[in-house]
Amino acid sequence: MLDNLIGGAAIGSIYALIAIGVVLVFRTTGVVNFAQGELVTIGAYAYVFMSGVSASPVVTMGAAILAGAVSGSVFYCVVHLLLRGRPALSLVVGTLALLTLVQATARYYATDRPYRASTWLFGDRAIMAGGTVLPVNSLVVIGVTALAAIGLLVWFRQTTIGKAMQAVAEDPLRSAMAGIPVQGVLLLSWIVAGVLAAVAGVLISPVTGVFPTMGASLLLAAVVGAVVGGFDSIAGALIGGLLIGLLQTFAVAFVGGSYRDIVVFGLLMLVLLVRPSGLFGSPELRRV
Amino acid sequence: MPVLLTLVLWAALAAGTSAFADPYLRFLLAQLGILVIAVTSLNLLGNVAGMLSLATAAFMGVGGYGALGFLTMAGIPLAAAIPMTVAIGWLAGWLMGLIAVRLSGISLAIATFGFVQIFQVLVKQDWELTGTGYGLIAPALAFPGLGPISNGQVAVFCIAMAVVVVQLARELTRSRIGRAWFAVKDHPVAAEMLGVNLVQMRALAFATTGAVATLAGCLQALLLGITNPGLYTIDSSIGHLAMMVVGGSSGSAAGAVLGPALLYLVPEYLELGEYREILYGAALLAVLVLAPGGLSGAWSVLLRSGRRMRGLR
Repeated sequence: MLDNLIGGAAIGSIYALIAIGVVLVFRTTGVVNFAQGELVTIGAYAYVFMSGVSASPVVTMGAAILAGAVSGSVFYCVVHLLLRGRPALSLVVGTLALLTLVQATARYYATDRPYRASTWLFGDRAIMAGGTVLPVNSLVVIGVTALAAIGLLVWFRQTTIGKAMQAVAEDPLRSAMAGIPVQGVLLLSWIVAGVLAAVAGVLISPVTGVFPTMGASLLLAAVVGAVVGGFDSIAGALIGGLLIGLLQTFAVAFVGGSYRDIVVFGLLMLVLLVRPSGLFGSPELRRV
Repeated sequence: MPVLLTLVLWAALAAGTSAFADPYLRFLLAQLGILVIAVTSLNLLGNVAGMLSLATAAFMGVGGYGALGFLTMAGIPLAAAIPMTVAIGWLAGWLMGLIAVRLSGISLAIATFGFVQIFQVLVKQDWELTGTGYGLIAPALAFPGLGPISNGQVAVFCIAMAVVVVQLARELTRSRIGRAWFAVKDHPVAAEMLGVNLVQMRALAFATTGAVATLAGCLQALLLGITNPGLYTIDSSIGHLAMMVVGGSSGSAAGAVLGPALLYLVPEYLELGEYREILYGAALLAVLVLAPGGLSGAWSVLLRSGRRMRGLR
């Protein structure tokens, strides 16, 4: 029971980190980023390659975060500078093009064979709690996600830049008139999304290995979590992601692996039929 | 009767020329035809009726398993199996539409994605209809009046059907129903004021396009001779969506032909091997950057300038 709870919360935390990035970008730019999973992949590759150079957890995590931030900015340039003024659906398909390009490049240079990644910070240590063995890495994943989510929420409420991001999400035109550098804020939200995804990539890489489609396979569950939580709410994305992770784990444990997706999408349909805007979403959400 | 005439002419033309082409090219064109039918269905739903769906793979799956299930298990002849499967697809689309009318945008896209995942779970079950989870194999095909059918004839039939579907979609778009769909997309409130029944029109859009995508699935299963869960993953739905957007957002039938032609036929025909995906991504991005109206938009600009040069305008 406890091991399922911690395991589900850990994979849910990974979904939550990815989902928060998707929601953050969607709120400020109106774009559903299908290539968010590729930011996870890029972060994981950076972590694996840096692990060969340095053993310091700060350096390896730093490399992944840097790679995530740089890729996030590149994605911003493609979606908002190259495709400026196109309809929202074209921008979404633009992120699909990015997805294909990143996957193809990864396949070209690193092949489909998964790389083994060592576990960040504590290695493969485990602790005993209440008669069950818990991998320390799961607790690290949950802790890092909690820190990131709380940090983001405080940042939005307390700092000027955070409030500027909220304002741009509400109304870009009036934000610009109030002197907020709107393009800078958009760039910043892509960078934050890239960093969150890269951190998720570092944390999940010892579990799944590092391969070109690793991010894409995580993205869809994360997006479902974001929709369940309400697509315009950061807290909703956090809780939705956690919920999907827990539900998947318990469905596998108690109903059987082949019915996992039926349970998850059953919940999705139920939430969408009862509350089309998601658990924490604002009802007037009408975009894309 | 000019509509019917062009229909017959086009179908005969495509089928006649492709029958002489070499088998590989004919197979590629047949695959293209199937994709054109699938993207046409998505085009009607997305660009005409204004609803975003990722469920094309699930409908194609209904088509594939339905057609081969009827042929192998129930022993129903081909000429009846296809219409019956398409009717099932229509019904499934109507039911999905009744759920979908409550949603829009990303929620709708994710709900339709859910249908694909649930379909994937179902076809992997250990049932007779799913070939114990590994899929079905098509029996030898026969058609009344033609006798046994070769694979080449199936390919020609796929191409001819694609031409017919594109023409019918053109007519549908310009009909009273098509205009009602455009109205529902552009201004639901105004459409309702004019007496358009929103729920009915949206459900009808889902049903019609579901039937069209199911037809694509039937043809695919007959062409490949097999059906299995791997054919109907969310990746193929996403591919159809990309083709639709590259084709253009005006809802024109040309877009649903040009999108698959660029993103499927060109990379496949050039035999690029490992560079295939890179070209795919680059082509996708290039069209989005260079042609804001999609390929059909660029096409109509070309036509217009051509007419101007000939002094017609």
